Amino acid sequence: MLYFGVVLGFGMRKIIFFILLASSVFAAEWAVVASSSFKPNSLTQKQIKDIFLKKKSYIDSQEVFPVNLSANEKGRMSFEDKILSMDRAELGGYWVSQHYQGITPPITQKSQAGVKAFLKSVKGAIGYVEKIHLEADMKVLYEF
Amino acid sequence: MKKYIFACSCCCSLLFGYEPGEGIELANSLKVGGYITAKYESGKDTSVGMLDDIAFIAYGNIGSHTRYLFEMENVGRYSHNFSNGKVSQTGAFRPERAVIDHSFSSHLNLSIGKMITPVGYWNQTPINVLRDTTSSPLVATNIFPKLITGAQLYGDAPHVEDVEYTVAAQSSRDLDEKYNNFMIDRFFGLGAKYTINDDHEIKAYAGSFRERVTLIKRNFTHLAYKFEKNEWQILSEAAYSTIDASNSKNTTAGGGFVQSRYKINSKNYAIARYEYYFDAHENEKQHLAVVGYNYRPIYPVSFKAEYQLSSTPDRSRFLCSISALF
Repeated sequence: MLYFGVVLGFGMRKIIFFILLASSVFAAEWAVVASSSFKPNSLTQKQIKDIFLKKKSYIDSQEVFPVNLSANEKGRMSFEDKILSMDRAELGGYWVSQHYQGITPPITQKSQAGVKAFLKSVKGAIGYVEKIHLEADMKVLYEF
Repeated sequence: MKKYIFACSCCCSLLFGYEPGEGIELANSLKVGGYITAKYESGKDTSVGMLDDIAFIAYGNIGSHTRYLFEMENVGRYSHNFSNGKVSQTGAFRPERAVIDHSFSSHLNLSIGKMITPVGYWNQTPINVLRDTTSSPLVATNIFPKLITGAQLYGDAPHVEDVEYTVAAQSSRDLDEKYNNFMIDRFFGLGAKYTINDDHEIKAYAGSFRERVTLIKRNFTHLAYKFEKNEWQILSEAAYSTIDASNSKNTTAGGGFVQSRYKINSKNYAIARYEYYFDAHENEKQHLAVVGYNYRPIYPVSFKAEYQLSSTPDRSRFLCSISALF
């Protein structure tokens, strides 16, 4: 009985461990954020994509200013994959064609601290940070 | 060639933080760039090589809601006809675009100046390097003016999701009509774009314009559809135009094209296009089948080759080009 209890206990611990591991792997780790004064309470993936591709500069009556992490920062690739649904080559081609139209890519910040500082200083700014770096005065608009 | 392009890119990156094809930022509100095209064309009676296009663009923001764009272009810089040995050159850079754009809200944006006519998809990217083929479909170049000098209002349609509108008007001479396909002094048009989902879009446009010298009035309607998913892009446009020449009988022109593009990988694209075009005014009717290949070692550099098989045998031709955006 004790043997089965030990085996069951060990098995259960393993199951719980794997559940926790899986949830940490698959759970959203990043959040698209803005300052708390940002009017919309949430955005759809398409709205965020349009903002970061500079197709939209307003959401409802809120003017928006996207800020990206630098190209080699972690999170940027995930953002491009999950939100923009574009690979680097596609995105490069897109911005080349926008250059002809006189439209530049979003400004970039080298770190998440830089993104957070930008959000605080520019009204309507929207960026993305790891959820562990969320602060009280930030509004989460989308998780990925 | 790859090494040369790579070396140039590295030098510019070190000097200006330059990304190929994305211009150089000279100041906070001033970015400059340009493009260049060389092409070769060989048909039944002609064999011509030319440095076709050199252009410089400058753009930037004036405050957070206003931006400007200025483009100077030199078309037909150098041309050598190998059939008769004739060489021609033009040295003049002329204003291709000069536009100020102000955003009031998502529903209301205003552009004033000389700008690309907001019709269809093909006309929005009229430079070689951004196109899939060296040639342009006849229906995208012969039905409406590619540029207008006037004002355009555009934005998201109020109360209708995923629909954008545009209204454009001109009531003066072109800022510089030399490189426009029609010399016009009147234009009015309105259009809409509906984004069905991430993959499908449609556009509709109706317009009217007057040719300045002949006073011929043309009314046109235009429909465009774009599908893009994974490796495939399907682009189709159709237009119909009535030509009201006061000193002769009224006639019509129109046609359409369907083009499919297959992305083999990020550098190689295969293109096939079918076109139909008629112009009763010019007594012309033509079917065209185009097969082409586009190689982009990096996206802003394009090597293209295509063959056009025309129902008018004299017009079948081979074209190739090298173009770059910088």
